[in-house]
Amino acid sequence: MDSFVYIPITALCCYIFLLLAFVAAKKSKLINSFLLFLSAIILWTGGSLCMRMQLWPSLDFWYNASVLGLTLMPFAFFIFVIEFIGLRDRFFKAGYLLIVFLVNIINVLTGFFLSAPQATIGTDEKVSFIYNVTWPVSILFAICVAITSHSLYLLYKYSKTNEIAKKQFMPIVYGVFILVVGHLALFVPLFKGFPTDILSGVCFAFCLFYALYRRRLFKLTLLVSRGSCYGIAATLSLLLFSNFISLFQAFIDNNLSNFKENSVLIIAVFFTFATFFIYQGMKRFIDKVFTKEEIYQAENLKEFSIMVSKSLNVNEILEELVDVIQKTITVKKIYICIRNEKNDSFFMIHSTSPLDKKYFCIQEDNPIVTWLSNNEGCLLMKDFKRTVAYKSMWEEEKKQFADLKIECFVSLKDAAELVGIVLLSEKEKHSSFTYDDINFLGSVESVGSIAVRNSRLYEKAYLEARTDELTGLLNRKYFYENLHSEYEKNKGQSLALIILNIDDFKLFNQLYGNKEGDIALQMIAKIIQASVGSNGYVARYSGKEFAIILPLYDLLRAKNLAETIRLQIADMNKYNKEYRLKTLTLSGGICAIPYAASSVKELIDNADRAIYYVKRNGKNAIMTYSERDHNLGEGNVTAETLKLKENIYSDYEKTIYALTAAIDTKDHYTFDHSNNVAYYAVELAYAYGMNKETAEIIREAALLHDVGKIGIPEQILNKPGKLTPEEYEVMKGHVENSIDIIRHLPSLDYVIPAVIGHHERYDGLGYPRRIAKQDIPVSARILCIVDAFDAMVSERSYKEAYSVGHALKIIEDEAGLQFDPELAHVFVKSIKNGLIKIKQATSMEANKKIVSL
Amino acid sequence: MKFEEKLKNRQYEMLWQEYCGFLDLDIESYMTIQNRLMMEQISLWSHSELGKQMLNGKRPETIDEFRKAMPLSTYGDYADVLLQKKGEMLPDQPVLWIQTTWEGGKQPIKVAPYTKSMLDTYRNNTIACLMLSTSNEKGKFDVRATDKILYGLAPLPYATGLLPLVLNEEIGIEFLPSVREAEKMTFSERNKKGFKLGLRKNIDYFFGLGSVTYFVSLSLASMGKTSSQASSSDSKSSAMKYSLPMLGKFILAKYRCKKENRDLKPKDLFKLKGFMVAGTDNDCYKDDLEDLWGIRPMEIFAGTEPTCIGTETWTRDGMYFFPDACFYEFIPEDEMNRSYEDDSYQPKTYLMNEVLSGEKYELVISVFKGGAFMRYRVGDVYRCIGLKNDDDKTRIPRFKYIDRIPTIIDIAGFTRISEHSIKTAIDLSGLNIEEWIAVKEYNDHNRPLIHLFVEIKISSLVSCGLGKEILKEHLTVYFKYVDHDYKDLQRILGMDPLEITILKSGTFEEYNKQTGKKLRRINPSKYEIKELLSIEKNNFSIDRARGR
Repeated sequence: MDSFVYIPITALCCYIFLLLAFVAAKKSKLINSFLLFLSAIILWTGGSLCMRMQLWPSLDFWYNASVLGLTLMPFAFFIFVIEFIGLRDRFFKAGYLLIVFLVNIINVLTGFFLSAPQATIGTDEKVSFIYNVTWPVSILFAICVAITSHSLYLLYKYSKTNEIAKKQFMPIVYGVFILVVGHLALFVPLFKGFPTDILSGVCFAFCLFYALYRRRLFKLTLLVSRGSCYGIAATLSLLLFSNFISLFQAFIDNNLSNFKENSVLIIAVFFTFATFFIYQGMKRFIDKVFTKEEIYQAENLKEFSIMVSKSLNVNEILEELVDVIQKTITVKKIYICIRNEKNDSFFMIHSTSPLDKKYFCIQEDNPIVTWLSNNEGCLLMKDFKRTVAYKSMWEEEKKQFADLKIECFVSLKDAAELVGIVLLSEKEKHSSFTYDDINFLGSVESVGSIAVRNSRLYEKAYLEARTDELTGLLNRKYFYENLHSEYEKNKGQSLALIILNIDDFKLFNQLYGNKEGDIALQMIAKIIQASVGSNGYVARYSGKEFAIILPLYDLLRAKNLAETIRLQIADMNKYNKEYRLKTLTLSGGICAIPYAASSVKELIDNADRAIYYVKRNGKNAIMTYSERDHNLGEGNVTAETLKLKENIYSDYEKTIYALTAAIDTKDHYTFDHSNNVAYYAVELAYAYGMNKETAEIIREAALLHDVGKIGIPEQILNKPGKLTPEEYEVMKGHVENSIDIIRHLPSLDYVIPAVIGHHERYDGLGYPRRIAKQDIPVSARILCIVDAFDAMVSERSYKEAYSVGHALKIIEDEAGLQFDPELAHVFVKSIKNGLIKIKQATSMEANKKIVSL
Repeated sequence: MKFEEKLKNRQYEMLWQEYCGFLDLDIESYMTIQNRLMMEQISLWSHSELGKQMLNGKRPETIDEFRKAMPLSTYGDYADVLLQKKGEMLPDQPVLWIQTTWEGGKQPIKVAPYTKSMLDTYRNNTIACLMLSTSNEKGKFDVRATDKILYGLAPLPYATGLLPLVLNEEIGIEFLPSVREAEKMTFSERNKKGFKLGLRKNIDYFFGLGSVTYFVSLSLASMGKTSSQASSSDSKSSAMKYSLPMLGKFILAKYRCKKENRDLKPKDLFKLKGFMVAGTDNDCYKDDLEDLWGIRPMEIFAGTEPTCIGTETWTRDGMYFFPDACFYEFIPEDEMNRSYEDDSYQPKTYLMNEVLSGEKYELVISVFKGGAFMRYRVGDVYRCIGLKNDDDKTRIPRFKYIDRIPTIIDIAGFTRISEHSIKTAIDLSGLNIEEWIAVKEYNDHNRPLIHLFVEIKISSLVSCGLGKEILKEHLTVYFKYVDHDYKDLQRILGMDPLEITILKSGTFEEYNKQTGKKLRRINPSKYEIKELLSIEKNNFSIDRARGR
């Protein structure tokens, strides 16, 4: 045995390993041809090795086996090439096989080409083999070279028509090259005795193996199974055992004579451990070299499945999704876009780094969305760029994706509906997405989709049960639940409750309709939510009431917060749309434990009570409830609020003046009449016990109550005699006209209830709404009386002026019918006591004079 | 990846899908692309200064709103901004400004901006044209990086000069002669050089205006003739022009021609893979070109303002518009005529999914990808010849190019003559022409010509010599003076497209009297001309004779 015997042994082991591995693989013609090739090369190397070791049965036998292997190799290579390029060539296949067998049979029988070598023992006792080389050996080699050349030619021809395949089979060509060099090296003196041919054979086999791998004909995991691990470990152990057992035995006998009796046991234990370590080492090696990535992927996927099956929180699931993808595929960034509620676009809600910009959004009609909706699996950007659909991408969209370096899209689907898109940026080192990556993404996609679907369903149901549909805030039920739980949590500390009530919201709805009202509610909700943030809970407490639970807040902080909210809402409608809406104001009540309440019920009641005080004191303010302030709410209305109100009213004055001037130019009587009514109304209001502020509102309402008459034709307005039913209908329209004018002045809307109701009758027979008794606002009831009174005592084109006494008589008669009896009584009494003075009615003549001017 | 690399990878199916896949679209998907890109363009354009100016403060959000808010436009609407190249007022910064003549415009030229993304689209669409020109059936094409193209079109700053640039970005096709050389050459030098190179290197594609390709082909045939008749001393140098295989081909071809007793044709020497023509009047030349080259030319439609917007396919039976170049609207013929009679009339337009087979339409475009022109009347008339085609399995409308709009006479794609230019020529000539109309006609050889019907002022009938030839000579001189393209028509193509008919004095007036209407000066309808001529034949008294 020469010193290089380990090379053929290693080569043989490699071949056997590959053979075992491929026997386990899914068979195809190509793999079979590779198996044939491996068998041939094993025959060659094995035969030659056995011959050199002069094993049983005979040198001749192993020699002929190795020649058979050597000659079969080109043939097997030819078959491999044919299968690789998908050629059908039975003629050459059969022909070459025949030639190979003929050559072997002749050689076995006669030794014509190259007869078996003679084993001679040299002087140094080394066995050497002497070959009797004659010229026919060149025939043998010529045949091998011819078959190999033919194979290479076929490959060359194929490469001309297929650029990609060229890359795949280049390793084969390199392998042949190495094989040739290896054989030629035998003749170089430097390598004398070194089996370069066998070494090159190993390289060649691995080149073929690599070519197969590039073709993705098999999965390495399937090839390198546990079975092959056991097999190889067993073989190695056996080799070890058979070679070292005698040495070991001798070692024990010589050095450890005490254990001599148990030597068999020691050896058995030793080899058991050795086998175990070899197996473990082997397995690790194989895992590391071949299957690490796949096992890693599978483990990650499993972990991901377990994690997401435990969670019903969409964000958690998305986080896991990003995590598993990034762990397995080395992409630089991952972004997740989820379909928004309006169903018109996909917003980025998650990414690998919280520092990434999040305003990214993909429109619903983006062709990528369409593609992902209609197709299964993930989409590579480079493939998508080559579709017709890509033509409809906007430049901006292309830029967006290019900026983020997006290279792959993975869909998240809820049944057939696309609910989200995972965007993967380029991989590390600019490598491209592999077949395995795409398979892996496919698995992640299906697991992720199911998880996202379930969690979305759950979150939707959860949200629907908890939140108010319109505003998205907590609903009343959950408000109470939260309040109780927070109360329990914060018992030893503080907890504030703010209740905010929108002032005159009913009027707002009446003025602009419910739709506008809903929008206002949503905006208010947004403002409150934004101001509170994560410091507390916001709920829609009732139709127009919002409640804020603020754990750990004291009264002062709560009040500051409420004030900020109140100011923001007061400004809310200022910047809104083309036309201005009425300013919405808030009345707020605050209470807090432990300062002003000691139970949940008390907390709510006191906050409610605080609102009640605000409402009583002119609204648009925030008030805290405290023991000390009990029943003294007014003191708590801030000075700024009152000042603000004053400013508002002084601004209105000009508008009112302008409107009354407009009436004056059209109909001077109405102007005078309005002035008179204003005087009577204010006096009556005071007489009835109203405060200054309310009296002021009534005065303004009185000045404007007939402003709608601007729209009534003069011939009807000044018609002598009775109006026809049609004309009367037109005349009645002045109330609505007035409202139509005033509603465009949001700052004056507070007079609307009085104006709209001043022709309503106490018995419900008036117009326009036919409301009765207390349903008619008190300001309107006042106007009704004084309006009628002034009309009666004035001279008009269609009637003489009534005397004051007569007019008062009529008022008394109509008390309870047309007029509010209580107010009618106060009015008559006030006139009679001289508390209210009679305004001089303008005469018709004077009136006419003014008009003609 | 460049087109050339993709070619090397032999992913032919994918390439076809990528560039010619639009032919598989159904009309809904086609309109999806159109609408989506139009929405992008509307948003870009209406935010630009140009858009704000033209929309007068209106803010259309949808395509329908836009079509209502924005009237149809012509170059005059953009002239202030574009002629001064105010790139900052446009939706996107232009990379290039492309120039062309402005027929009947305030200034001799008009320029159009090209943005980066417009050029990208242009490039992809021209590659599609190149592929389709070589295809005989769906999915099959034969383009190689080593191909040579004989290119008979003008260099930059004209739109045709863009093609070599954008194509060479993607594929190393060799232009004969090279673009850099060609820029410095005159038209005929370029052609001669191109052919000489072609004889050495072979020609795979030929692209030019229909008329020009025809002219060039004829001169090639004559070149063959001269070289065969050349003396022995020349024969050496002429043989030098050919590559060895070409020389062999040439000798074979000469032999065959002699046997068949005919002139040498380009098809004897070259086997074209693709043959593309653009411009007007291609129909007049297609048959002859096919005869000369043995392959039927494929028509494409490209223009300065619209970029490359349409191409025929392997069936050579009607053009398809690219879905991603422009948004297309179509004015039906009667609406178009009404709008030319009444300037204030806004004609109705229809979209690609609303056109009817057999109808004639004037094309209106809005250029995508940050282009300047919106709802722009290009001035071309097409006929929709089908909404789907069983031959090439398409499901989108296909069109045939008819001609320029009736108010313009375009001769062989070379010159565009308007009422304004004829009037200027007549005024400058000082000829005593009382009244005239101009009509585009085709002669017996199916070549386009401009037919001028004139009526001489009665006062000068006896004082000046105004024979038909004199009129023609005079007017030709002044046409050349007024219109440089007209000069080229004669210089390059050797065409003399003016035909004059002198009408009896008073014919026009009599026509007005009898019919009660005034004839349109340019391209009145055939019936009206027939009527005019029949009136001329009649006996009518000439009012002016009585001393007016």
